[in-house]
Amino acid sequence: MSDALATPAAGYFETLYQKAPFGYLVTDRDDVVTRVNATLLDWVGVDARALLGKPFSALLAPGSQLLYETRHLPVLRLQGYSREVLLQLVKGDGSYLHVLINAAHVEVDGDTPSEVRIGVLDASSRVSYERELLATQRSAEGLASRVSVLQNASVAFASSASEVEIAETLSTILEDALAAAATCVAVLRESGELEVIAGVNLLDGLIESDRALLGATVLASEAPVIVHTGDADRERFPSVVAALIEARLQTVAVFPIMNDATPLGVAAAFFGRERSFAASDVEVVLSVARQANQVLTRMRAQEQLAYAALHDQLTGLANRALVRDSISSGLLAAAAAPHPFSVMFVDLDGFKAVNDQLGHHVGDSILREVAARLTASVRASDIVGRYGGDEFVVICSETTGHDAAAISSRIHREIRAPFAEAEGFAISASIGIAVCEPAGSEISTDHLITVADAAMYESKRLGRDRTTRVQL
Amino acid sequence: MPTSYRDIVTRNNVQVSGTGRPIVFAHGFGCSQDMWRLVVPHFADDHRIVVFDHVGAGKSDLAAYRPGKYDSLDGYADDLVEILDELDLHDAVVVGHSVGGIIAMLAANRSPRVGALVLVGPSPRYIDSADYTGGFSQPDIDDLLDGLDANYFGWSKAIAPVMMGNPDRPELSAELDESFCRTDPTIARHFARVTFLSDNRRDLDAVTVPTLVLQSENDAIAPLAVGRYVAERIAGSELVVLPVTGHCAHLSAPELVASSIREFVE
Repeated sequence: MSDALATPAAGYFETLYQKAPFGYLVTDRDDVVTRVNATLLDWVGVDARALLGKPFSALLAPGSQLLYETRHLPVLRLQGYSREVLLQLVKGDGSYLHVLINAAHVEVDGDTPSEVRIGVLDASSRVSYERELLATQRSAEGLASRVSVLQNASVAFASSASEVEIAETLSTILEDALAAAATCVAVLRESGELEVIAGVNLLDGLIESDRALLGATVLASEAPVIVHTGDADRERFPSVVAALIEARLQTVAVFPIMNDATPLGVAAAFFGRERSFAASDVEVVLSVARQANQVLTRMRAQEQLAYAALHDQLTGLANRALVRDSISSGLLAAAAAPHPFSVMFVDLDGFKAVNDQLGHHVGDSILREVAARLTASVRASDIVGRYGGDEFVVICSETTGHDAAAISSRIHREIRAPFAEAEGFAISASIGIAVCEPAGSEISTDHLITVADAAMYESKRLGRDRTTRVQL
Repeated sequence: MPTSYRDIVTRNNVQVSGTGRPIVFAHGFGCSQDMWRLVVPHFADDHRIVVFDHVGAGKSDLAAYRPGKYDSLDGYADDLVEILDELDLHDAVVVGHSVGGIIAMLAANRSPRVGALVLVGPSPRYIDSADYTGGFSQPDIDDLLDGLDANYFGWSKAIAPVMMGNPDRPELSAELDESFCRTDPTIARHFARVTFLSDNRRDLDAVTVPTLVLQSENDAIAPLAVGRYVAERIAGSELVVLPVTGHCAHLSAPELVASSIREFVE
């Protein structure tokens, strides 16, 4: 006990400092090294003269230097101390030594300027262990974030109910996933034009020809195209680069949206700095785009099925089911308003002879032509349907008997005109109109149809090519 | 988008004091408005002083952080322009350190409210290329990002022994605690990427306000050659080389920085 407290032999503290089991150095307030112990010199493998009088930061690897000067030194200066900072020292042989440092500003006495004392621990083994953990953690985080992007995407797409909503969802997901300043989604129209239907196109109005060019390049190659403002891309896409600069942007990335081999459109992301993308980033974007494509394709198929279920395959007009549906809803609306409502049954005269003598394919072509002429004869708000065979229906909302008669006389004139494929055959229309004026809620769809049908037969009976109107 | 004065002031922890020609201080990567504490008092008598924290730093509102917005320095410059607008500042001197200087320059190129720029240790591009020397390579920057992660790892704290004596500096001790230069690790990582991987050389050409470049004689982060490059590319700018070592002249030589700014402004 008393031995331990006794004054140590001369030079003991010097050895304690020089041969301490950790590096120990002193700098002035400007980070210039004024003392360094033998342990640190031994670790680093340099002579004291290589360190003394130079900034400690000059001993650091460049990445560490950035961290040291921008983060560690300000904290040290403001706070007076700084603890457990991991850095890399450059050894005499050029290799790196991972160290952990603690530093403190110390006032020596009243007259001497304060100094900074820095303790240095060799952290090589734990750093290599931490690096592995870091790499593992980063790869796990990357994976988790990609999985979460895809999961969130599938949830968001499931609640998207239209082409535009799907495009908006895609646009938002990509903006978040890529940390983009803005994104937009453009779909390929039948005309070959790309139309932006969601998001913000930051290059809109600035580039016309090359935007199509950029989109076309992406769709043709079925691979993403990334344009920076550097010289390499200035030659390939001069106007895109000019527009990027004008818009204060430095990168645009355009990704294809494919349906198997068929291009559906593109998604574009805009960035305020030069960005490159890891293969895993691109894969996430393309996966989300594939999800969008699947949802869109399924929705379009459903729309087609729904359309097919309600339309006549031959003429494209509303079929019997849609006609009945439209009459029901038209009656309800007319009764609620109230306003007049008219329904017209149109049956062709002389069609059977064409069909029998010239064949079904000519008959079909005449029916298509009749559908076109009927559609041309009515107003945009009127609904034309094919009720069956050569029987058509025209539903006229907010239409009095007088107005309906005017429409029917146009129809007579149109149908009477010769049909090129049935030269020498006279075709005309017998029409029956049922008019509710004003419409009452007591009138049923069936009743209205029965009355219009009966009126049409009355026209046939009276000699065809005429209109019979019944007021309800 | 913040719409009110309160939103913007809270978002960037804006602190305003004094009266006179407005002077706004923008901090750089790695710290917060704390960085300016030794310089600001020199302007207290005759200036309206504005200090603030970039989103992610100091006492800024972390909830205001959006990766897309802050993926380029323009997002940070947008915030600064909004601060100038909200405070209705005219002919403001904007002083920016390091990347804060680049942000200040972007704001000056966009807002007529900036009357003069002071760039302390600015670097418009850190990475070397064929015709430019920024001082660093892409692997250096990757190393920095690794270093950031390593330093923010929680378990680092438990292992290192406390080897140092009493670290008190009496003149600062009263209000000092662990909160100095506080930064959110995730945002800091992104900010590091944006700071050290951005290329804003082209924006230097657009500067029209009187500009002072304050350059440390010996700065490993923004070397003298970079300071010269900045001053050459900004038309009519003035380069002052301070006899200082290190990247943070405003901390190591605050009097010198303050007097240089004064001389330039007056």
